[in-house]
Amino acid sequence: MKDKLKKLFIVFAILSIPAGFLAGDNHGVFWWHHMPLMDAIVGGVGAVFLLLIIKFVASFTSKKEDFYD
Amino acid sequence: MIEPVPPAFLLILGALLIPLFRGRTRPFYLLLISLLVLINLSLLEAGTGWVIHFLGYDLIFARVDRLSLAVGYIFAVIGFLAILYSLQAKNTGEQVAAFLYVGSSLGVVFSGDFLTLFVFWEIMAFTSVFLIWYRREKESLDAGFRYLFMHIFGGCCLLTGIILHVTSTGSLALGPLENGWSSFFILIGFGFNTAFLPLHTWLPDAYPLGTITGSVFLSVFTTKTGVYALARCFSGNEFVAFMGGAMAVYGIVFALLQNDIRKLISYHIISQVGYMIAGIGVGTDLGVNGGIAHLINNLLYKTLLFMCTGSVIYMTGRSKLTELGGLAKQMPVTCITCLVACLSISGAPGFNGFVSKAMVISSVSESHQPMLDLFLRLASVGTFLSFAKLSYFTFFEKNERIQANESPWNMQCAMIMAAFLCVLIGVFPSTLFHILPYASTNYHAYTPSHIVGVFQLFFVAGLVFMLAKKAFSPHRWIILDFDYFYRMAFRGIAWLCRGPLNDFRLRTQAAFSRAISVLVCLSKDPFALPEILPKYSQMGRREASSSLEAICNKKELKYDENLYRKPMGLGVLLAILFLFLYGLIYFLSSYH
Repeated sequence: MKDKLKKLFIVFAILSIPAGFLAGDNHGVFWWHHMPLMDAIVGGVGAVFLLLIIKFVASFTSKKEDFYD
Repeated sequence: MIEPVPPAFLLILGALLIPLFRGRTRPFYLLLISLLVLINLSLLEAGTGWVIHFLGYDLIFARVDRLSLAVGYIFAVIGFLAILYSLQAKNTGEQVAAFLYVGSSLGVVFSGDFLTLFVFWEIMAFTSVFLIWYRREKESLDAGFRYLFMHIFGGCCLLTGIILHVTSTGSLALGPLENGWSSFFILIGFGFNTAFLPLHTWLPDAYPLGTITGSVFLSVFTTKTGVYALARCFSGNEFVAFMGGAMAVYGIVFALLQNDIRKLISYHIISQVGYMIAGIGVGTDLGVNGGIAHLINNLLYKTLLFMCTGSVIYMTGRSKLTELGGLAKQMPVTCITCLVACLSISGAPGFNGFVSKAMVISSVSESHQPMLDLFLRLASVGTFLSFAKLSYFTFFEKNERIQANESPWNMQCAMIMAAFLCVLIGVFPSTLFHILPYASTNYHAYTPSHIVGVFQLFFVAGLVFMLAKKAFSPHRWIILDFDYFYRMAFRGIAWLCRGPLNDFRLRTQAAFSRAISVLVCLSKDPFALPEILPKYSQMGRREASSSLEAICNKKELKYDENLYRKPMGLGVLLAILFLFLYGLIYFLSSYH
C-alpha cells in the first residue's frame, strides 16, 4: 500500500511538470512568474534549502530537554 | 426593537454569571451566550455607538465598519466552536477566563479609540494567562509568568505610545498613524501581540503549555487582535510588510525543528501571521483584503489544528512526535479533520488557505517586492513540509505501543464544523469575499496556472520529504530561540540584584541606621556631640574608646530631656489654644 502510494506520488510529481507548460501564465509580474517550472523548482530547491537551514540551525540551538532545568 | 450591544459586554457579563450555573445547565448556558454574541453581531450596523464622555474624551465601545465586522464575525464563530470544543472542561475558573478573554478580544476589535483599545488589550493579557496557569504544572506556571511579563511590557510600550500620541495630536481616535515616537511605541506594543521578531518568544513558550482547551482559545485571539490593530493603524507600512516576510520564514524553520506537536503549530502561528501582516504592510486594497482573508482562514484551520492536537493529547496523554504514531485508524475523525487543516494551511486547491495565501502573494508581487515574494513562496514550501511531518509522524508512522480511542462527541463536533468551514470557503471563496474590508476587490484564485503551480510545489517538495524523511524526523531535543538571550539577560539582572545591588542596599541601610542612631542619641543628649564626633572622624575613630551605644545609655545623663520637653509642650499648647480662640472669634464675627 505504502509503495503504491509512493509510486503514485512520483507519477503525479512527474506529470505536474508538463502540466505547467499547458497551464500558461496569468498575473505574472516578475520574470520567474513566467517560467512554467518555477513552482516545481521552488518546491524542490526550497525543500533542500530549508533542510540545509534546519540542519545548520539545529547544530547550535539543539539542547537536551532539561536544558533550562 | 432590541438595540444591539457591544459584543464584548455580552461575553463579559456572561462570564460573571457562569458560576451560577451548575451541572447540565452550564453547557447550555455557555453555548447560548456564544450564540447570542453571533446574533448580536449580525444586528450591528455600520457607524459608531456606545460613546461615553470621559475626562473630555470620547470613548467609543462600538465602532462598526467592514474591517471590525469581518474580524468580529470570525472571532464570534471561532469563539462558539472553541466553547463547544471545551464543554467537557469542568473548571469554572477556566471557563470564566475564556469568556473574559474572548469578550475583551471583541472589545479590542470594536473599540473606536486608543484608550478603550488599551483597556481591553490589558484585560486580554490578564485573563488569557489563566488559560495557561489552569494546567497546574510548574512549567505552565513559569511559562505563564513569562507570558504575562512580556505582555505587561508590551502594554507599557502601547500606553507610552498612546500618551505621546494624545499629547501631540489631542485626539484618542483610533486610525492610521504618522511616523514618530508615538507610532514607534504603539507599533512595538502591537508587535508584542503580533509576535514580531524577536518579541515572539512568549508564543511558542506559553501556547504549548496551556490547558488542552485553553490553547485552542489562546491560538485564536491574541495574535489576531494584533493583526487587526496593525490593519487599523499601520496599513501600507513597509517595515510591517518585511517583518511579515521574515516571520513567515522564521516560523517555518523553527516549526520544522520541533518535536512537541503544539509547539510546532505555535511556530506556524508566527509564520501565518507573517503572511497576514505582509499583506497589510503592502497596504493595497488586495493586500489588506488578503491579510484579513488570511486571518479569517487561518483562524479556522489553526483552531482546527489546535483542536486536533488537543484531541490527540487528551486521548493519548502524549504530545511528542517521537512518542506518537499510528493513530489514523484509532482516531479517524481527528485524523481526517487534521488532514483537512494541514491541506488548508498548506494552501491546497479546494481548501480555504489556497485563496487567501494567493491573495497575499499576488498583492506582494503587484507592489513589486521581489524579495518578499520569494520569502513567502519559500514559507509555503516549509509549511507543506512541516505539516507533512506533523501528519505523518502523528497518524501514519508505525507505533504499536500506543492505544487510543476517538475524542468525546463535542470535540469531534467542533472539529468537523471547523473542517467543513475550511472546505466551504475553499470551494466557494465568494462567501469570504463578501465580508472583506474592501468590497471592490474581485480576486480569481482558481486560475489553471495557479492550481498547477501549487500541485508542482507540493509534489516536488513532497518528493524531497519522502527521500529525506530521516532528516526531517523528530528528535528528543529542545531548540533554543531568542528566549535564551532573554533568560540569560534576566539571570544577569537577577545576579546583579542579589549580589552587588543587595550589598549596596545593606551598606546604605547600615549607614542610614547609624546616622539615625546618632540623631536619636543627640536628640536625647545634645551635649554628647563632642564624644560622638571623634568616633566618626578618621582620627577620633581610633581614639574613641566607648561605642555610640555606651555613650547613649550611660546612666549619668548630662542632659535631662524632661527639663526642656515640658516648657516646649506648654508653649505649643498655648499656641494651639491661641489659634483656636482666634479662629473662633474670627468665625463668630464673620457669621454675624
